[in-house]
Amino acid sequence: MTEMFPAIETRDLSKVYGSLEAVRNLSFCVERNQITAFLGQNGAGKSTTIKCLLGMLRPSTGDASILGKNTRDRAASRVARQKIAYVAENKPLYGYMTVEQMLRFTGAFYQDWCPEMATRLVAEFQLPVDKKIKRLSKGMRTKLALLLAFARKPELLILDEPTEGLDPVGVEQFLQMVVARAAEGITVFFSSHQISEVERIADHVCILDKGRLKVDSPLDYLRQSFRRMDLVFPDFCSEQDFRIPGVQRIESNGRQMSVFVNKNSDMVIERAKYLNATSVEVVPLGLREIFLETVRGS
Amino acid sequence: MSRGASAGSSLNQRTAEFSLCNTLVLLLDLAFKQLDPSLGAALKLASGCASLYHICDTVAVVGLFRLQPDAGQALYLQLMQQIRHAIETGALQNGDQLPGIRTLAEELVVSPNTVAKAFSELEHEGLLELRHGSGAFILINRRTRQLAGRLQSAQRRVADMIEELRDDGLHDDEIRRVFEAELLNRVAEIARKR
Repeated sequence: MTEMFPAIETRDLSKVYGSLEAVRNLSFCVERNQITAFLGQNGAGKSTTIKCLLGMLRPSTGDASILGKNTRDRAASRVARQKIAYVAENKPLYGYMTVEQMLRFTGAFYQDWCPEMATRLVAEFQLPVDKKIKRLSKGMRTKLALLLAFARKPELLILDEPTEGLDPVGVEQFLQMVVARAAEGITVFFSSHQISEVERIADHVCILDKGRLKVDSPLDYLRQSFRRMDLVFPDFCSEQDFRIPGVQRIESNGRQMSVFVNKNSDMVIERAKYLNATSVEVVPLGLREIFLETVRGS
Repeated sequence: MSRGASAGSSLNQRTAEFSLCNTLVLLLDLAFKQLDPSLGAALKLASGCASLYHICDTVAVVGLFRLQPDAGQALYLQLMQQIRHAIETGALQNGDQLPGIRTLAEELVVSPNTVAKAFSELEHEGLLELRHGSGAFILINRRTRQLAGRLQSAQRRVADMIEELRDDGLHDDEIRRVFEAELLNRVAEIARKR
């Protein structure tokens, strides 16, 4: 049975702490059966948004619903949360328990817990089952926290900064795991500032900057529309000539010009030819540059 | 034939134009590689290794496809091109079975939706047959063979031209820029006509 509502939906969601507006009028959707990445600088409001979604924080204004249930409706929200696996930013675990005890303890809470999957992941992550959690390294703790979510079979997986403290091998294992779970039809929503990871696996990207949503777009669309055009002209050329919709920023020293666009690169090429440009080079922007362009100057 | 016709209408025009330019860039790249003996040899070795893997049922794709997340092109388009390219070089042959969506997504570490979209677009083009539950099979028909032939002859012409330009004293970098500028010109022309 396919359900019609998106996995996550917010409408004008805001959260104010005293005089600080952590999240401002956030409206976005996370579609089912997709991997959606939530990007932003430290303090951009990513964790606040996630906590509002999970009912851990009450929104100041606006609404959020998760798996079709409004987060202000406590009973309905609880039903939804049983179908969600969440890994928090600070990866809270009980330090006095061993890895084995933590697994049994967590497994007892969830009907969708898969003991076989847990065993497989313990081996894959090479976690020492008899060791107390307080004796684990930071990377090991992250792996254990991820394992506790990946050993379930939820409808929605929400991960807040999942790869913090992981070494490159751990990151690779994590990415493969996310891909495998997505292939099983699990919707994934994860926040990160590790752009190279996001760039590989995400279908959709949301960029949050100072509490505001700046980008909400399929990653393939971003890839194909953001460009830097390096232009050279025989004589001085005015930036005014390139005030075209889609042009985000221009760097110019008179005869050389770099034009950053998020659409309409064809029109910029055409304009440059019209103005007798002697050289036109088009450079695609990676997600890192797209991110930096997006949060620049705001 | 009906397959080809439906492919033309199903792919939107922009994508078609885009892949035309990209095919040319790919050709250019190939021509460069072929002229550089060491790279050419490496390439041959790679396709040789790829065909060695044909002993098992499903084609091993490790190393056959490599997606570049920062190349400014949708990943599903990159995968489509690389599958087409593998068919053109003979690394993939008629009836070969590709790994399933999940396996390929895990191997390439990309979203399963990327693989699914590439597969379904290639099915529209008539290059893949998706059999429910048993995976994706390479389908090489007359049209594909003709296209492969055209591309090979184009590659020879590009190689000749590059050699001529080198004789004129141009560097590879300059030749590449000239080609790319000319392709950009074409994009601008298309934009103007629209």
